Amino acid sequence: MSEISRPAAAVARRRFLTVAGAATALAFTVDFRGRDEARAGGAAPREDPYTLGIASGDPLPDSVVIWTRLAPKPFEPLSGMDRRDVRVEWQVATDERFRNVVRRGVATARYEYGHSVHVDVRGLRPGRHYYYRFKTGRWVSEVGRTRTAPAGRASALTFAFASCQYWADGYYTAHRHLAAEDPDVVLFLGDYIYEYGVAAAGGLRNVSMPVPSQFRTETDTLDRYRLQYALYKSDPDLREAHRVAPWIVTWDDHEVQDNYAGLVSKSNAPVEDFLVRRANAYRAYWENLPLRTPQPQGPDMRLYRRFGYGDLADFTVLDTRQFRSDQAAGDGWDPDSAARRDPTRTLIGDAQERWLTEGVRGSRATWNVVASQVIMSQMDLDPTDGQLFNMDGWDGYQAQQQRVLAALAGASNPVVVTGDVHSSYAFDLKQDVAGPTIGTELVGTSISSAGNGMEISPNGEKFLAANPHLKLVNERRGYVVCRLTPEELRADYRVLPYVDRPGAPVSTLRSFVVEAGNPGLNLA
Amino acid sequence: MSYRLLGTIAACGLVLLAGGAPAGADRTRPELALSTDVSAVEVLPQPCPRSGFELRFKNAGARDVYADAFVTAPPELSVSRQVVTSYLPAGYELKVRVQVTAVVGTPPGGYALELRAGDTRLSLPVTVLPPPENPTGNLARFATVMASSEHLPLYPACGATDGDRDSAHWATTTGWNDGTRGLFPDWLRVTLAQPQTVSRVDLYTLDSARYPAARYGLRDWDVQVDSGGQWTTVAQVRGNTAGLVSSTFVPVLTSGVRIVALASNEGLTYSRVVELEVY
Repeated sequence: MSEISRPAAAVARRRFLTVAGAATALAFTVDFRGRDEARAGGAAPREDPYTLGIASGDPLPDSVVIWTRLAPKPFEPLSGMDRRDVRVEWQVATDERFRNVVRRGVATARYEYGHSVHVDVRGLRPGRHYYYRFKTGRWVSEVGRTRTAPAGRASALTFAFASCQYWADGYYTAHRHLAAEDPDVVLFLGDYIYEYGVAAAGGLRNVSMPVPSQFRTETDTLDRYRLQYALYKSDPDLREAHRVAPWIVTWDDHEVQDNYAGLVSKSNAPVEDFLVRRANAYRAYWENLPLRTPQPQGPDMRLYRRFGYGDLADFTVLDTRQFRSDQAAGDGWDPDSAARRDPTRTLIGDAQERWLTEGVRGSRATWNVVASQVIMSQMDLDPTDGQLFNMDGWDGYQAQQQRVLAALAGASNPVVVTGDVHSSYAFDLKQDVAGPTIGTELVGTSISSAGNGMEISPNGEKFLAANPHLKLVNERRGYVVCRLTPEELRADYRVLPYVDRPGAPVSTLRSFVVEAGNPGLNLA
Repeated sequence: MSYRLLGTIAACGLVLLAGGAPAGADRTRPELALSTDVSAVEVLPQPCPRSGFELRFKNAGARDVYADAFVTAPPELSVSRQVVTSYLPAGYELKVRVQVTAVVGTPPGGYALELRAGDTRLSLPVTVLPPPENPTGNLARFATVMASSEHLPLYPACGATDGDRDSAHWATTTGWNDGTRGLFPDWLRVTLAQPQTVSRVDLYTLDSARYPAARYGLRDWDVQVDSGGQWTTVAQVRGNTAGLVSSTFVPVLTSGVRIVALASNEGLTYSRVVELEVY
């Protein structure tokens, strides 16, 4: 157990912070005449518009998306902006002082997209750090750091993964520590927001400034989802984790509604009504995250996608919500059933399944990382002869679970990374729980959801007793850091003792090593 | 004054996006319609939102749009939604609940909310009633109430001061349920407009035929009063299985009372209070 065990990274980050803080408008006095795609007539904001921070994401070998959203008064109607579009200049440099600017341009923060800015910066070099910033009027943003994916031979990669950040359940101290780990890329596996109304006292945060009254209602319309993102991004530790590394994000249920399934809402609302809500939720998600995909029009959005990290790793990012059949047996934990095994029921839809199985089979990378929101391994809650499965996980869609596990068994070194359950788990991945190990599933705990947590709950004990392929159960908050080389994967489960107040230290709960070509978890 | 403000905003024009069209390319005005479920709203000047209306926002045109509706209130009133932005498929009508509150001390009389979307405008009359009479002596009834967390939207803290002690109305209109399952303590606090002498707190926990207190009600709690910014415990309840517990204590002058919920008869789940009364 050690506190923040990487002093070098911490020092490097501190230095970077200092320089970022010193960034001035001076460097922006150079003539900015990129492609003039902006026909924005709006005046620049009168107050700092970068309250929601800056971010980058979806890294490719030659490009990365940089993001911000102008919100001088993030909790007020229209985030304190008016209904005109606004010009936003941007720069990308190889150094944090912007002496060597390699790309620049002008983007338009459009009113209809909540004044968000998504720039797909192209023409970059692979496997490099870049620094970026925005300017609108006299307001210059902080400096963000990002990193392109490598191309060809790649010898090492550090990625972190995290999920589930219910704002009212605690502080995002885990993000502050995650940022200090110096990851090349961060995977966020869903439940970035929760749809619930927020009490004036802010739940376990017990805030001294009451949360404004417009947060009491559940998110439903686009304005209300936008407010929720503004609240979540008001935590500086989340903004910091976005600022220092590119993120690859996917959603789970709470970005729309608890345990929704495709067209089916939790309350079985009329599909026509639920699809309007889903459209509002998807649009707000797109507006607030650094995504390359075009803005959604209506209730559909393509989110599943793949990222190559040279010959070292392929990341297959799944969407396990948009296309799924309704949960079997009314959802919850249930015994085996015909509905659970029904081959016509689907978790990810036919098209995504084809794309997934063809992708992992055709991959030439050493490691195949699959980002799943819900647990793919079979997981039984009943330590006796009976069985209880989570109808909301892959276990609730057993036929497709089996087909996908069969495809992963034929892929090179599959590693499934998962969120959803607010617990640290580690599985030897098996197609048949009595059969051979085909890969690994690493389940990361929540950033804050479920509050301080505990070492292990009574249900956690049951999971350990009922599932021999499950090698770790812990219910503290935190995240996972993975270091990949051609020879091995090392996974460090990082946990915090509390989140109901800021400032918790981080420590390593457990480390596992997986050898390439030899599936199975080994204690490091 | 608010009239001029409205005119200014309207002059900015409506910006909308047609489905599938490139951003900004199609900014022709869509056909939007606004209506409400009631023709007028009556509001008592008190802190909890107890009045409101349903805003009906319709896309009467033939193409799908994203559109805004604005609700503008005079300074005496506040509304839970000042803007409603939504995807509206062709022909679709969105229904959104808007709560209206009147600031304590607002003179009784006629006011109005202005509703606007595109070229459509609507004025919704609001009558602010005289301050509520409170012959019961229950100081919590029209006071400001707050909780450590709330299970929203169904179980706000305001549900515990609505004058309804009937547990049969649980999950429909009345009662506070916290929002942090399995985590204790929770607290529910009443802030008085000015210091008052307090000597009794009645707590009605959930207790109905379906949800008996012995299984679902609060088991352990402390009653505390605000003594100059510090909370002082004046009564403790332990092992309760009844629907009503009346805690009496030496009279004390205070501006706030709270209960700190420590345990439920259901175990590690929730705190449930149907009504909290202070005398």
